[in-house]
Amino acid sequence: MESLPALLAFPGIEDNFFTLTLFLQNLTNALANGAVYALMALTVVMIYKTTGHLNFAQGEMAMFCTFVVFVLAIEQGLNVWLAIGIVVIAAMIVGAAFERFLIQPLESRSVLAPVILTLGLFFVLNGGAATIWGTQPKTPIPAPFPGGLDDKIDVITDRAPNFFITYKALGVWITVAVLVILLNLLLKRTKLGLAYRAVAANAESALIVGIPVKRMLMLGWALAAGIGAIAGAIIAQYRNVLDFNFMGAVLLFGFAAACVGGFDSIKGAVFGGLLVGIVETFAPALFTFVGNELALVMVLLVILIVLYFRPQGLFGTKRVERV
Amino acid sequence: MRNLPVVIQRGSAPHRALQLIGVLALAGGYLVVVDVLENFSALRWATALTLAIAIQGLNIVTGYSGQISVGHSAFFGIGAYTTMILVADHGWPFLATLPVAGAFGFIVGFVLGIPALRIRGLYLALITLGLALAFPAIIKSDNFFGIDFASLTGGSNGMSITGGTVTSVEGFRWAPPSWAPDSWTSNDWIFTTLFLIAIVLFALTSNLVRSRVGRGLVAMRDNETGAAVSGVYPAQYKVLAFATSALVTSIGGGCFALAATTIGPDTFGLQRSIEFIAGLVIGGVATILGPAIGGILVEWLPYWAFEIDWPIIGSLQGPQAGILYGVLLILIVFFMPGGIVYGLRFLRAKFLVIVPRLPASRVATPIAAEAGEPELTPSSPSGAPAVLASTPVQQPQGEQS
Repeated sequence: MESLPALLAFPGIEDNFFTLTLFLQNLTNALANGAVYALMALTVVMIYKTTGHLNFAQGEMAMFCTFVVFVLAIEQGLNVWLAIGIVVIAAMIVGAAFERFLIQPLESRSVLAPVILTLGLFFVLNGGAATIWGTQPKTPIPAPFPGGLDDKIDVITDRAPNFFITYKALGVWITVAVLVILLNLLLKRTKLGLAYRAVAANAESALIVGIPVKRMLMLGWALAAGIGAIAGAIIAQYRNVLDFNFMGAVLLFGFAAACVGGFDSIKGAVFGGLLVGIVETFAPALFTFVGNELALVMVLLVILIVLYFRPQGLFGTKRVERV
Repeated sequence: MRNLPVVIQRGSAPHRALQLIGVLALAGGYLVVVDVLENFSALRWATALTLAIAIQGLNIVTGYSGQISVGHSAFFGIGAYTTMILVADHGWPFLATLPVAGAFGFIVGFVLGIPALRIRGLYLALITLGLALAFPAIIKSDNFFGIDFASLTGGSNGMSITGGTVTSVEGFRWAPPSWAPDSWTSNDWIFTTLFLIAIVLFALTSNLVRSRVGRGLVAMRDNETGAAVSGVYPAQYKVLAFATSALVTSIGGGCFALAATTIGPDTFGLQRSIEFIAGLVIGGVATILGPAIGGILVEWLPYWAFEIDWPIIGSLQGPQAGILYGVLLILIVFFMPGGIVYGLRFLRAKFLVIVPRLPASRVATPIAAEAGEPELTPSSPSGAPAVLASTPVQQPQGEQS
């Protein structure tokens, strides 16, 4: 206590917070959690950009995919990345099929219908996974990255709390970076991506110039499902849990990240994810009056503040409506 | 044989007679629950009523103003905890706690509604999703910005209306009054009380949605820009609708405290919200009767699914209830977009059409002649009835059951 500057010994502030290694450890945790949320936010953005829908079943789709990865990699003994690859392709096909057969028939209806449908899907997938694989957590969890106790890079070892970065955390960052680069290449450098962006910008005009709009809506769902499948496997390893509910809270934080960043921005999804991760970790660590279980409430507050001052999100496009 | 459908005028003698039959059927249903069914089921029916009230609250915001709320479980919980704390720890009479419960719900709804509803889109769904997940955590928290909620609410242990978190106050029993028939048990009296409260709230909601405000909400739901041009302030209307809906659901929660007698934080999680949405959608969005059907289904569906041994499928197990809700939701969205009430109306329209009373200046005959397919039949132009197809359908019946 005595060693701290007087300014920092403020009521309601956790003094330990400013210990260097502890701070760095919190920061890495925050950024790794944030990257996890960024993954989910990316899936949210891919669907929202073209269809304007929120898919409440997104997390459960990822959860279901992770169980299939588990079956392939652990029970059948396939290489983890091969299993993830197979599941991603399958997920993209199923995602496109969901859009085509469940969502597209509802396009002419009010905005409620697709929301209710995805809520229904949420329950079918959630209950389905619990029925097929049971309600108990599964072990061992498929490990896309080395996840043992010693699989870490020691950065600071000469003082009391050591500071290290695990390969799992590195893996999450690398995944986000690779996905963002691939998505950017797809959207900015290919004809398919151009068509997708045209539909996102203005579906009617895109239709007039001959872009197959409905295919692009399916592409949005396919991309979201594919990213979700990767995200599920990585989140399961990072959080060290695989059961039928493990994506519940993650999806909310993913929504929050997308909302903070702007629902139609890939950049926003990443920054929003990191911001949400930082708030979630730092608020209970910094303030003594914020209990650990209140991270969710803090994130909710961030959403409220962002919506109040910048409704379209930090990087989102403001919608202008013509009458 | 006469030509079907029969056309009758709103407010005419045959219409009044139908309404009377509806009221009698309602009274009959009440008597069956109190006098005929087993004692324990009166409490379950009472719980169904509290759920129906909560769903009616959700109906105001989801049905009539077209915004999805996934957080009504939290308002339900706010109401339940308010009533529980006031009754069990402070010895308030039960009925006096309901306005307080409603007021708390209204305030929270108002504060959350302002940022969520200023802008168009699914932001309310998002914020209320957060609320639904955060509410149990807040109730259990012993350090919510310095406030110790756990000591107030009993934390994860929950509360009991007979004892509260502290046992200082004498146990609470909702005993039948002296003038009640001797056969009435405490459960019957709880059911009776909640039955009357539900009728009052349903009648108030029915009047609200048919008032100027209600018409404004429906106009805004169906075409926001058009409504704004016609003088409906979207932000004000939406925020007030959300706050009012939170108020109704909170009162439902207060009633739930009486029917359930013990509550815990996890009674009010996301699952409960989804049940409300499922009940509303299955019962009938934007109808006064839909929430009643929805409440009954939400309370009894799990019972029918789990405890009855069906032929072929047997009885369902734990998480399969989720599948049941999910499949029902998807089927309803596709095949009966207006829910059960619209399905029933569709059937009724084959036999009976109720047309509004015409203004005195107009001649009745030419209209009545083409009344086969007037605006009042539940079919919208696309053939899909109901709100999910965004067609404003007037309420042909109020309290009729």
